[in-house]
Amino acid sequence: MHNSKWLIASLLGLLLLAPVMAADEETYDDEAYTPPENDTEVTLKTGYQDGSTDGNMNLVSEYWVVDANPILGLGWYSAPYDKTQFNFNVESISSRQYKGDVEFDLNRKFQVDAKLIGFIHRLEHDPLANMQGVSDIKVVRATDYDPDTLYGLDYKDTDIHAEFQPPQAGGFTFRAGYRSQERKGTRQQLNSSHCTSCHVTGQGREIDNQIQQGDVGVHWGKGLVDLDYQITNRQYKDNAAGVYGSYEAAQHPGTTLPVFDDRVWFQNTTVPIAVQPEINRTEHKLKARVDLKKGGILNLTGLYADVKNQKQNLAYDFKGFNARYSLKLGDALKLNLWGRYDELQNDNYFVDLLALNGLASAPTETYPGGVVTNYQDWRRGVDGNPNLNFTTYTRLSAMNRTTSRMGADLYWKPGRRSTGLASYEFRLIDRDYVTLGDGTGQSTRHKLKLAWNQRAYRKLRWNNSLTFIKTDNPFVSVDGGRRAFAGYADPPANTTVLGTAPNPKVPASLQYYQLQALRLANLTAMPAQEMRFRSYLTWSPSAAWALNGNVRYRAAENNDLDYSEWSKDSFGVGVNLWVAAGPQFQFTMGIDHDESQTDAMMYIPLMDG
Amino acid sequence: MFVTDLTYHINQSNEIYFNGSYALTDAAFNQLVNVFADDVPTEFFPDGLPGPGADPNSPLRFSDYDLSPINQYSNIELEQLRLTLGYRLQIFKNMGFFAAVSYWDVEDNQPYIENYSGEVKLLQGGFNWNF
Repeated sequence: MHNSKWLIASLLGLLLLAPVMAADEETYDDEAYTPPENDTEVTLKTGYQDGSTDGNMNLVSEYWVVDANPILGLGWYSAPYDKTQFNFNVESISSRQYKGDVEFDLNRKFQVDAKLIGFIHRLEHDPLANMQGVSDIKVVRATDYDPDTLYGLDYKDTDIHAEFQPPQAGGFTFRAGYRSQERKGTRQQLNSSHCTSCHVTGQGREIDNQIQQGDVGVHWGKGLVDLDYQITNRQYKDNAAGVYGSYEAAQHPGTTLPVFDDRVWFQNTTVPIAVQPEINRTEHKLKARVDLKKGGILNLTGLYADVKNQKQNLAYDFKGFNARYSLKLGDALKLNLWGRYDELQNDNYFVDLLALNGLASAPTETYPGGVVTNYQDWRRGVDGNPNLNFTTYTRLSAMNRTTSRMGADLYWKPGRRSTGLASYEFRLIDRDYVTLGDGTGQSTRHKLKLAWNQRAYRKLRWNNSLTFIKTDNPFVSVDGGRRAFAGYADPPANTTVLGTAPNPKVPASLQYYQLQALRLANLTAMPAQEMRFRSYLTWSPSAAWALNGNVRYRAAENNDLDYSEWSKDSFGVGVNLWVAAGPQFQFTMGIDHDESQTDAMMYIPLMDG
Repeated sequence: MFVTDLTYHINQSNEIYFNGSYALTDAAFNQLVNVFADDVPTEFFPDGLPGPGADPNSPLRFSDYDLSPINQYSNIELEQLRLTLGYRLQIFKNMGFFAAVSYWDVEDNQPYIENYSGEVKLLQGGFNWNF
C-alpha cells in the first residue's frame, strides 16, 4: 500500500465532507432513513482503492483493475413533469474500468436508453516452453520473441436505443439503435514455419478494432396483426498495424540441403500473417404475426443478409425463412408446427499464387539429370496428368449449403402441477461442394424429445427430458486417416519403408501425397445415434432453503464408418444447496462431477504423411 | 463450489457485509488406451505391438512419438478463493462512509502452459452523498 496516496485520499474526503457538515449539523440517528421525496435526487460517490498483487493476474483478476485509483460515481434522477423521467448513473474505478447508463422516458411516447461499459481483459501468454525437442534428425523448437510482455485488451461497449410512438400515427413505433464495441491492446500471435511444428514463434501484436452497428426499424400493430421491419448495418474495422511472421530457408532437417525450393512459394523472408478482414454486413428482417383467435397464432420471419469482406472483395449471402403456427387444442393441449429454411452462398475465390506472391514464374528445383523444373511440371510428368494445377485454382466454399428444418411440438398439461412435451424435428443439410461418407453432401437428422415436468405441493419440482437423435450421413473427414498396409490397394511406391524422407530428387521414394492418397478410413467426431437424458429435482420445503440435484447422461456413437467406430459416453451429477436464513444472509454450496469416455481412431501424421 | 453472501445490520446506520466463494476445479484425461488393427505391420513397432492384453500403462510408442504423457497435458486443478469484508456507515442523513477489503487467490496445482497462481489484496474506501 502507498501511505501517501491514502493520506491524500483522506484529506480529499475531509475536504469534501466539510460543506456537508456545515450544511447539516444534525447527526444521523437510528431513525429509519427515508429517501427524499424531491423530484430530483443527486448522489455522489468519492473514494479510493489500492491493491497489492503477487503472481499471475490472468485468472485471479482477469477483468479487474487492482492498482491505486480514485473511485468516482454520480447518480442523477429527475422527474420534473408528470410521466417524465430522467435517470443517469456512472461509476468509475479508473479510466479503464467504468460503467454508466442513461434513461429518458417521455410519457412512454419517446424513450431513450444508453449504456456504456469499459473494462480490461488480461490475456494469457504462452511461453512455448513445452515445445522443445530433438529426436533423430527431427527438431521441434520454439521462440518467444516477446517474453516479458503482459498481454491484455481494453474493451469499450457503447449501446444506445431510441423509440418513438407518434401520437397521431396510431399503431406505428419507430426505433433506432447504435452500438460500438472497441478493443485496444496487445495479444500474443503464434506462428509456425513451413515445417508446421518445427519452429513455433510467439510475438505481440497490436489490437485496435471496432465493431459498429446501426439499426432502424418500424413496428406496426393493429388489432390482430403485427408487422415489423428492421435494417441493420454492422461494420468491423481493424486499425492496428499488421504483424509479420518470419519464414526460414526451407532445408532438409538432416542434410540442410535446399531440397524443398520448388515446393515453397516463399522462404527466408517475412510475410504478413493473421491478416484481419474488414467486414460490412447489411441485414433486412421482416416479421409478421397474425392472431387468428381460435384458429391459432401465425408467426412469419424473413431475413436477408449481405456480408462483404472489403479487403478481399469477397461476399456471402444468407437467406432465412421461418414460420411458426401455434394452436390451442382445448385447455390441456397446445400444438406448435414450425419450419425453417436457410441458404448460405459464398463467392468463389480464384487463387493465383504467382500474383499473390508477386512472382513471374513458379520456384524451381534441379531434378535428376540436371533438369530444372517447377513442382507442378514435375508432378505432371510423374503422375502422367497434364491437368494438375497447383498455381491457379478456384476455391469453392465448403459452407455453401441449404438447411431445411421442420418440426412439431405438442404440449400437454393434464393438471395444475404437470406439464408434458413431445416434439419431433427433421433437419436436412444439403452441401454444395462437400461430399461425405455416402458420396453425397446431404445429412438428414431426426430428433425426438420427450419431457415431463412435475410439481408436488409447491415444494418439489422434477424436470425430466429424454432425447433421441438419428443422423444419416453425418459430417466425416473422408479418407481422413489410416494408411492402407500390405494387402490393400497400395501403389508400387509403397514398398519403400516408412521413414524414407520424401524428396522430389528421388522419385522412387514415398512422397507425402502418396502417403495421403493411401488413407482410406473416414474419421469423425459426429454421432449417427445419440441419446440424452436429463433430470433435475428441486426440493424447497420453505422459502429459506432449497436443495437441487441433477443427473445428466449422453450416449453417442457412430457405427456407420467404414473402418472404425466412434463413441462418446458422458455422465454428470450435481447437488446444490441454497440457504437464505434471512434477508441479510444467503449461502450456496454445490458440487458437480462430470466424466466422459471417448473411443476413436487416432491418426498420427508422420513426416508429411 | 462454495458461495456465501452475508449482510449484518448492526443498527439502522451501520452495516457489515461479507461475500465469499471457493471453487475447486479438477479435471484430467485418463491415459490413452491403444488398440491396433490386426493388419498393422509389426516391423514398425520395435518395442512390440500394444493391443488387447498388453499393459495399458506401457509407453505408447510409434516411430519417434511417445504418446503416453498426453493425458498429463489435460490436467487441471485450480483453487479459486474470493473474500470481501465490507462496512457501510451512514454518518449524516445525506452522507455515508464505505470501506471494503478483498482477498482473491488462485492456486494452480497443475500448471502446464502457464502457471495461473496469483493473489490480490484490495482495499477500497470512500464517501457517498445524497442531495
